[in-house]
Amino acid sequence: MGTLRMLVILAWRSLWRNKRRTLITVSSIAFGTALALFLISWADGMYRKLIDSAVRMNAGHVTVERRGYNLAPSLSLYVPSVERIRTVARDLDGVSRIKPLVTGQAMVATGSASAGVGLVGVDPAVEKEVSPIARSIKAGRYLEPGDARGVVLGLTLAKRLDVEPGMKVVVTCNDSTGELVNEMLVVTGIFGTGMEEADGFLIQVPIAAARRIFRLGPDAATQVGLVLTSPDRQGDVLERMNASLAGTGLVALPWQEVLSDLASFMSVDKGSNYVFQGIIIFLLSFTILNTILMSVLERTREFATLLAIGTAPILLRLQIVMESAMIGIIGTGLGLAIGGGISLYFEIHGLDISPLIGKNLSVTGFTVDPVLRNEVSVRLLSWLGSLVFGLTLIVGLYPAYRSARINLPDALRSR
Amino acid sequence: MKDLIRLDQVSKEYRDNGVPVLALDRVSLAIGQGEFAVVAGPSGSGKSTMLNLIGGLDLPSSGTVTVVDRDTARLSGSELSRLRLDSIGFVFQAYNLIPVLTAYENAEYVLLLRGVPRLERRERVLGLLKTVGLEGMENRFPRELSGGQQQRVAIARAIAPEPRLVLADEPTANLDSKSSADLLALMMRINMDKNTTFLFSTHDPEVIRLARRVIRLRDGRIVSDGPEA
Amino acid sequence: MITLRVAWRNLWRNRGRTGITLAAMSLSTAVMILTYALMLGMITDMEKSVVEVFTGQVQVHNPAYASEHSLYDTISRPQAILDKARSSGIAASVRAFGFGLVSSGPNSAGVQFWGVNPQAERSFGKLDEALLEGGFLPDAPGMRVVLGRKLARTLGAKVGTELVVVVQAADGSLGNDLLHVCGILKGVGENLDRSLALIHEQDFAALFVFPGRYHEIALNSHGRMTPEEVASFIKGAAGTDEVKTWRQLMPGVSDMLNSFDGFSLIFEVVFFLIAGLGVMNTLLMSTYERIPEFGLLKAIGTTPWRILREVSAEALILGIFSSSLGGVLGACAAWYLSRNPIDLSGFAEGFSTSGVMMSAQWGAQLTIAGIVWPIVFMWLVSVVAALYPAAKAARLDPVRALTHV
Repeated sequence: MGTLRMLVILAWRSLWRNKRRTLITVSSIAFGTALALFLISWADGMYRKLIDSAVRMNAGHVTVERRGYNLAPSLSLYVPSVERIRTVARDLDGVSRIKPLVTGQAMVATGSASAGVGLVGVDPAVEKEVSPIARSIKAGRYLEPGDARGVVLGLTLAKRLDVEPGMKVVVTCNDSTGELVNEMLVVTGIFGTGMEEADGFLIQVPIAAARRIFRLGPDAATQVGLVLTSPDRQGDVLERMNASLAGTGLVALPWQEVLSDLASFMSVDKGSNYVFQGIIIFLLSFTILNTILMSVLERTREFATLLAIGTAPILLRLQIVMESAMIGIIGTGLGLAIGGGISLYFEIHGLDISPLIGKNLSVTGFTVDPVLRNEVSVRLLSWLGSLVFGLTLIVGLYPAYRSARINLPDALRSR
Repeated sequence: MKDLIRLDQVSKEYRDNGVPVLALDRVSLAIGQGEFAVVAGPSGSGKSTMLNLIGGLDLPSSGTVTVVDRDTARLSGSELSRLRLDSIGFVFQAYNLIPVLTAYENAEYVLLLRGVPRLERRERVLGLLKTVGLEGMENRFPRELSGGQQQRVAIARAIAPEPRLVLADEPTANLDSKSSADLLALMMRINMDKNTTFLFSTHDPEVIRLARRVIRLRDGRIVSDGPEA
Repeated sequence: MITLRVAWRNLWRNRGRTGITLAAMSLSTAVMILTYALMLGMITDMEKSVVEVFTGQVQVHNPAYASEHSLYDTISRPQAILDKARSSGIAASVRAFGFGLVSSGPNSAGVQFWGVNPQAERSFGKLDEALLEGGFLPDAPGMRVVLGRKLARTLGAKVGTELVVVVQAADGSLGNDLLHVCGILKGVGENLDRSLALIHEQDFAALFVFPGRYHEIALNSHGRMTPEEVASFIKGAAGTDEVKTWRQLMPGVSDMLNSFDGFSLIFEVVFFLIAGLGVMNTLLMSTYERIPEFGLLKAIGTTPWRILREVSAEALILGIFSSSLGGVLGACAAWYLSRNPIDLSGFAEGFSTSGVMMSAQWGAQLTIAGIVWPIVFMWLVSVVAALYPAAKAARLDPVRALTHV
């Protein structure tokens, strides 16, 4: 025990004998760690926001639909009773809102032009609370539950069709039985989400109107979306929903399957982030290696003395490993504190990057809010911290190995 | 009496910038327990090489070096360090104290390595520092001590584990004549009291004059061995 | 010359330190070159995926078409434009657009028909390669159709599925016909994924009763000219028709690419910062550790100026070696990654961002500037990091310098 204590003393004091070097090393580690932490939490924050607005606009974090609908969406594959789903989902922990949707394809025409659109029947009361569309009305107003023939559409589409609120449009589509139907609707409002995909392609009508147009039952929907209180609840909710849906022909799917484009974008974006963070960490560990190795090469005389007076080589190596560990702990801790602090600040106050990227950056049809909020989690702190610390230890092994491999007679004399 | 150190036909050749240099040339020598011997000779005569070989810091090119009945060439790295720890104390020309340890800790370090219990360690280190005349300076770091004081700490460190042999490579070369004389007296006293064998290299005539046995080296060969006239 | 020789010898004397510094500098240079090339590769890939697949560098439309999207707003002199393009080897594709309703069994969807010349489309872009299933349109007409990915899903259509088409033809009649799905596209952009139906131009002419009229001519010089050069070259032949570059046509996509430029600039600055700091650390440390040595030089009468000159000479030698080493290393790595792109995900399918088709393959792009800049930057860093402590040492009085820790 005494020997170990002595090693700790030796390591600790040796560290501070050359303060400049130790401070430089520690600050390099801290800088790299803080930077990596900031970038990762930034990306996590962006993903969270992106997911949030996407699932709110679409079919929730968890989507209940007929098996097979996801791969080939057809009006014939519908959920017969929304109420049944509602009774199950309402009691689940973590479900915040239930949004029934009736989605179909249609052609919208005015006197001058026509366009293919996605027609979505929504519950206006729910949408007003969850959907970004309801919040981005640029002209007129959003749908009300009582609007029997109301329709809202996006800016781009409105421009193409040359319509304003109060004007009529004709919707043509096949209903669930395959019949061609026409329906006249009145534009109540025009929304501008900044998402090309929504603004140019989507129209929303009250769900009752959609059921009438597509000739679906009064309680039917193509999808029932569950918006959760937190994305972390997804696995739990999925499992419970699927358990209670067994045998009904319905399934609960994660948004990753429903919005597969967004999911694959994220995985690719994460992949490229990993490459960059990998490079940062590689450079970082190289700097650590340099400084520790240089310190070891400078101290050969000291090491030679320790070996000459009977220190076992393993003890000397252990001392160097301890030095790396101490540097690693201080540097990583400092880096996590600084990076965590900065990230936490931006998590609370947001970081406006609009001067950099312009107002609208959209990803697979979903807008990225230019005000980004970092997302720091204990999980992130602990894995990043252990990664950098572990790296310092690994990188310190070579200098430790080198430390005891010296020519004693020469090293004892050197200055 | 059995020999503590035996050199049989020991040669050591090393390369200096690619040029082979014969530092020791078939040297044979025996030193017994309790001797106080000096290796003398001009620089480059092989004094340091001889001490390094005896201390197991280096291995001979040919011949055998036997220290405490062990052939150094047959020992592994950790066995060599164990041998040094148990049986050999070192004193260097440039003191070579551990800069980050205090005088007390420098002397205590080897005892720690040998697993001496704490209380005994304390007692012995304090006693040793007193013996070498450094009472009250236990908590000073090497840079806060004069050269002579540093060398005294080095001697305390060397004799702390009560080794059978102390090897000193030009221990007085960096000291003034007063400090040299004191140090020499100290070593002689320890030699008397504890029967510790002292072998050191020097080219200081004062030191040579005091030694009971002088081994003179020139160009890697022993030219004379015995009490100086 | 003497200075250089002394510097050279000094570097050799402390091989450990020199090795570490050399390694740090060349590795950092290599990493900078690599990241620069990766960034550039990412941006170029994106731009390529916008331009190369079907958009082209420049498009010609009837000016009224952009606002009205009316079937009747066609290009007035398509042949003149095509002749002009052909005269300088610019690839061109002529397209006619029309809306219609397509159904398959109980499923139906509004679609945008593109009447194209399969042969011209093949030599123009990569639409014919961007297939998920089936094949591209055959050269001869035959009422075949290639569908957008999501449209196919909506219709529940597969290769071989028969589709019923209803369109409003140019003469006001209701066009009605059957089409056979011969291929399904990969993700080529959100809008097209949902609504595109590619048919042969002659089938289009028959369906819409609209022969020889076109709405769009897309042009691509395949890198020989910039979009602006192509636009100004074609303008003369276009008459009253509008000639626009892809950046003018798709300001959103252009903005997005610009914002990626912004992002990558930040990343690049961050990397240079880290690499620069790493090298600066190493150099600072190795020079600081030599302050006692400089003190000795000063004590034996070396002038401060001479010390500085010596340190600069060492930094110069190190800089030359490490930049050559790092340059070669980085260029090789970047070259390798330009040939063997990084696969970012297990998803084989491409996907789209802001209507831009992206691939999960990330290749590097190596340029001369991408090699020169990191090297110049590294030189600057090394000169500053070596000279600062040396200047400090040169000013220090010898005794203080000798005992400097």
